[in-house]
Amino acid sequence: MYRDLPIVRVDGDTFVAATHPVVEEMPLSVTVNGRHALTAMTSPSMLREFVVGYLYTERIVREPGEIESIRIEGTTASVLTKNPFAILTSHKTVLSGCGGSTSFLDAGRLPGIRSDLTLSPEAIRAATKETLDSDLHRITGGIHLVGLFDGEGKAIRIAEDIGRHNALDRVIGHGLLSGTDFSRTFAVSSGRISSEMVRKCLVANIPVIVSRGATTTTAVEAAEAGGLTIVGFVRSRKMNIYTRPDRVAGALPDGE
Amino acid sequence: MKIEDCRTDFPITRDLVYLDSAATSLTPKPVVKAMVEYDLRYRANVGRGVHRLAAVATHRYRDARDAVRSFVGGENGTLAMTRNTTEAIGMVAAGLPWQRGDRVVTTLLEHHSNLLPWLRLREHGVAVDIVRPDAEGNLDLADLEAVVRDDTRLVAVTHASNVLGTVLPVREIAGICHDRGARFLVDGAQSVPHLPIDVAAIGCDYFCFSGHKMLGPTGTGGLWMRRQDLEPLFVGGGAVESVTAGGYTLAPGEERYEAGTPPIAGTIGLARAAAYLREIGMDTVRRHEERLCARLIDGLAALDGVTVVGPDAEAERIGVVSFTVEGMHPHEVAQILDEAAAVLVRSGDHCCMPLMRHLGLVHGTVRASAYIYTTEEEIELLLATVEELSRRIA
Repeated sequence: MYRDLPIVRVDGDTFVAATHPVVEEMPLSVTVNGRHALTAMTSPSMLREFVVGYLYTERIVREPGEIESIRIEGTTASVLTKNPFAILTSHKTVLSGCGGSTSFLDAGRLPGIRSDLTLSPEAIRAATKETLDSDLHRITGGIHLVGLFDGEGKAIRIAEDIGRHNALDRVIGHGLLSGTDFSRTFAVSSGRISSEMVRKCLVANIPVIVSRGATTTTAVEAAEAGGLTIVGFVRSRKMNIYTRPDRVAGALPDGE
Repeated sequence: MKIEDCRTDFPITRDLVYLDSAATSLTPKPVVKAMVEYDLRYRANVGRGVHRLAAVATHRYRDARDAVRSFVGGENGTLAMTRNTTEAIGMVAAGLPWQRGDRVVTTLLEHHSNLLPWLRLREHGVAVDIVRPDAEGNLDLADLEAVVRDDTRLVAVTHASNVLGTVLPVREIAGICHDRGARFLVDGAQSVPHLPIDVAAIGCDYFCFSGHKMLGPTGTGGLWMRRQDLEPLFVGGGAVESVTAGGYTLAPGEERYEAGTPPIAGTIGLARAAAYLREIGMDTVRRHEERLCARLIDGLAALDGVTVVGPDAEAERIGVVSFTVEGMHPHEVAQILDEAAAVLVRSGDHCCMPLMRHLGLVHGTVRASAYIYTTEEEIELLLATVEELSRRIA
């Protein structure tokens, strides 16, 4: 996942030849039924999970059962769906959206969260700590982490990636491949909770997303519309609940 | 899927009693459908093309090859698609670095396809030791062990005899080969269709088989190899990583053994055949054939003037039964069975002339071979027709 590369280390007026661990990045070209779907810059692990999670959160497939086969060879991932000919005969690109690879955030077209999950603040704190406890993160300082946890705060899978969106797709892909009920899970991210992260949680029906970092106004608006709980700045005893506080035990006065 | 429900997938069984599956099995509708789908919906060459049909065809072809490989338990090795078992064996014979003085051990139970390639190596100074079975066609393992020497480069034996149905103890033979440092080739043409196969458990170096005997299309087969230690028989398009005017680098994977366009529809059909057999379950296939075979052997043995050739029903065997009718040429018996009862069997030497002469069978045998679609009623019809026939002679 990383390589030691030669660097020049500068400290004030001194310049010293040294090495430093640098996290690995690879392009992964994904085709679906013979048509190019995206090229992702990503970390070279959990590629199958990434592809499944990406296709699902981009709603190219509606359920993992639609996928007949995934072949990953070098820097290419070829995906076949069970009926490849519907898309094959279309001349439109299989992806909608802007920015090359991701969909528009259109709250009206996104599903709402269907879950009665509630979490204790302790579970949120412990899960955040567990997610961030990564050797690769410590060594390289160049990696994002996303963890998927069950309602009791037990880790289902923690993924590392150079991008937090990719990392979230990986844990969602893992959940899909292992038949996880996402309505009983929550996600923890090492990075900012963007609208894109919110969109992926809404599609997957993950009711709570947590971060040690900040969020954005668009993310909060989308989360409000979809009924997703955003918890940010989880540090020591503190955390900020931006939306749907009812899913965090003790956040609302009794009876509300 | 239940084995008794499969007959509707084999339209030929509506009109005929097909008991020649050891030569070529029938093929079920889903296999034909998979091939037709390729030809009509996504036909394209595999490997290099970038357009969508090439991508889909390549993906399906490689998945199909992987599925066939896993059907024989070959995940930890390489599977090259071939035309049939004969081609697979020929690739081993042509691909090993033979030296004068090398020895090959084989048996007299072999199909010509696992005998002639070795006999031809004699022209290159390779000695061939042929182990003979006893008068019933049983091989004594000690006889084989006695001829495997330090300079034996290869032992090549059949997994199951296509004439007698005898199943050979390939695991034990693998142990002998391992001890003596000889490579081990198994001719699985007759075993893959009828027995659960795990090449890793067998411990062989090369495993050769055909698609057309296991519900798949004709012109398909496979060579599984533990290591990629063979020189490819053909080189050319698709088999290379890079080419300059000065030379070429072969592709690292199975592609190096598949120069030229492979049987794409065929391999996709073969994978569907493997999936079909998996749905029924190879243990179910084996039990089904054992039951039919036991009835067939008992019934034939009870008839005057009829002699069953090969091991008895209790022995480990596949659903192949050879017999002779006193005073009748095997071809004549086969002809009458077809004309009188629409029962189709094989007759003659079954590509095993040395074995036939060894067993004293001048004109060979009549051979009935069952498969998943064979019923007890069909076996009874065969027995009744042979009985009638033998009575007429007497």
